[in-house]
Amino acid sequence: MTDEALALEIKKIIVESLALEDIAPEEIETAAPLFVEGLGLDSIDALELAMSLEEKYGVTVGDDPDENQKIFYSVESLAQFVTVQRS
Amino acid sequence: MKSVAPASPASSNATWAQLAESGSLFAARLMRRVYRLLGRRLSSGLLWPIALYFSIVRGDGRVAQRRYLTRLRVVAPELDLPEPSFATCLRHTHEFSVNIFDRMVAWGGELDDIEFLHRGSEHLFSLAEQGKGAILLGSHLGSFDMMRLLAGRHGLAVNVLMYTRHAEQIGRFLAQLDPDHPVRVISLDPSSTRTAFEIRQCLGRGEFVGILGDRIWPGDTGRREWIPFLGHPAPFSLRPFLLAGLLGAPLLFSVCVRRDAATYEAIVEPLHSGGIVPRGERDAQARKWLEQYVARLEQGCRQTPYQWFNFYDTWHTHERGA
Repeated sequence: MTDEALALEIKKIIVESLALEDIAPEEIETAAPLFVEGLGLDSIDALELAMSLEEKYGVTVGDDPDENQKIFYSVESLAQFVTVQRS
Repeated sequence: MKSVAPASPASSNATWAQLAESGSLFAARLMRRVYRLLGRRLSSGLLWPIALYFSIVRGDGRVAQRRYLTRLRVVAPELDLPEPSFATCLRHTHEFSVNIFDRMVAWGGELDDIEFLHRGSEHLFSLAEQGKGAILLGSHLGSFDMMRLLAGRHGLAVNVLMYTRHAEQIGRFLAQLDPDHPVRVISLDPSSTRTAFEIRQCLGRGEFVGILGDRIWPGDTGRREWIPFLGHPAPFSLRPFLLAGLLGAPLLFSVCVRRDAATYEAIVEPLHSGGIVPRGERDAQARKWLEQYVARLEQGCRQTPYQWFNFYDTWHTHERGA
């Protein structure tokens, strides 16, 4: 899967798993911050998203808060995380 | 899109109760010394002048206190509560002083001087035996800290969620006072993704996570529900309940109230026995649990009217009017 395709897939997961009604996956910017200042998502959203990614890609999101802060920064960082964990 | 929690400065509602909650090390050590010297009876007599002092000097919590007592009086005429006056507020403040005093005593390691009755504690022990963690829904009714100490004495690991600004301060204070039993704090930081992960981590280790459900933290406007409480809608956070549904964690209403001079009753009532709630039903289920929690809290206020120590604008009258 290309990086772009993976990014779009992750955007779809974000919109679906967080039930973001007013937003289309394509509207989410790949490099923009997702949480607080970006889409205004909170830590429950992050956890919910982590659980969806774990289910879909068989990855494991650890519990190191600082590490998670980096992983959940943007779609780009999430895609990177998924790619590294799957390789 | 979901509402964004603004990074707000410390709320102007920083009441004397918060100051008292964080406490002062000097006062705590002094109290402990007096307690050892004079014994419980005599030293608790000293709490009246202290309560009087707080009633006169710290006026900013009084508006909230009176509003609570007035609303309780209206919805619960059967209690025959007197109209809020200086005397009733003093009584309420005195009860709070006793609560703090007993906490200091307990922190000092004299938990044996306090007698505990149990109602429902077996739910906690049975979960602990199975190695299962749970979310303990506490409140400012009675003393959640007493609950934490008691659970700790029985070997249960209880982590407490606290707003960041208070967490460090309170953590440091407790560590100095009671170095053998450090309080395990999870800091609630609305501007970070970490809180929910930390809670998952604790639950994953089979530990308990205590959350006080009757206070919305300053600046946190996300995931609130307005639920009638003592006859008027008040905002409560859905977060603890959403987390329980998402993680499948058991949810227990937990309170520790004073029954007698030195007798406390620890009450634990299950709201959810555990199990993940499907995504589509999660919001509605969380709201149901929240309603049960608020109803249970109100029942507790009726049973021990002077032991709800939330000296804070619970109904957010600045948003909705009185």
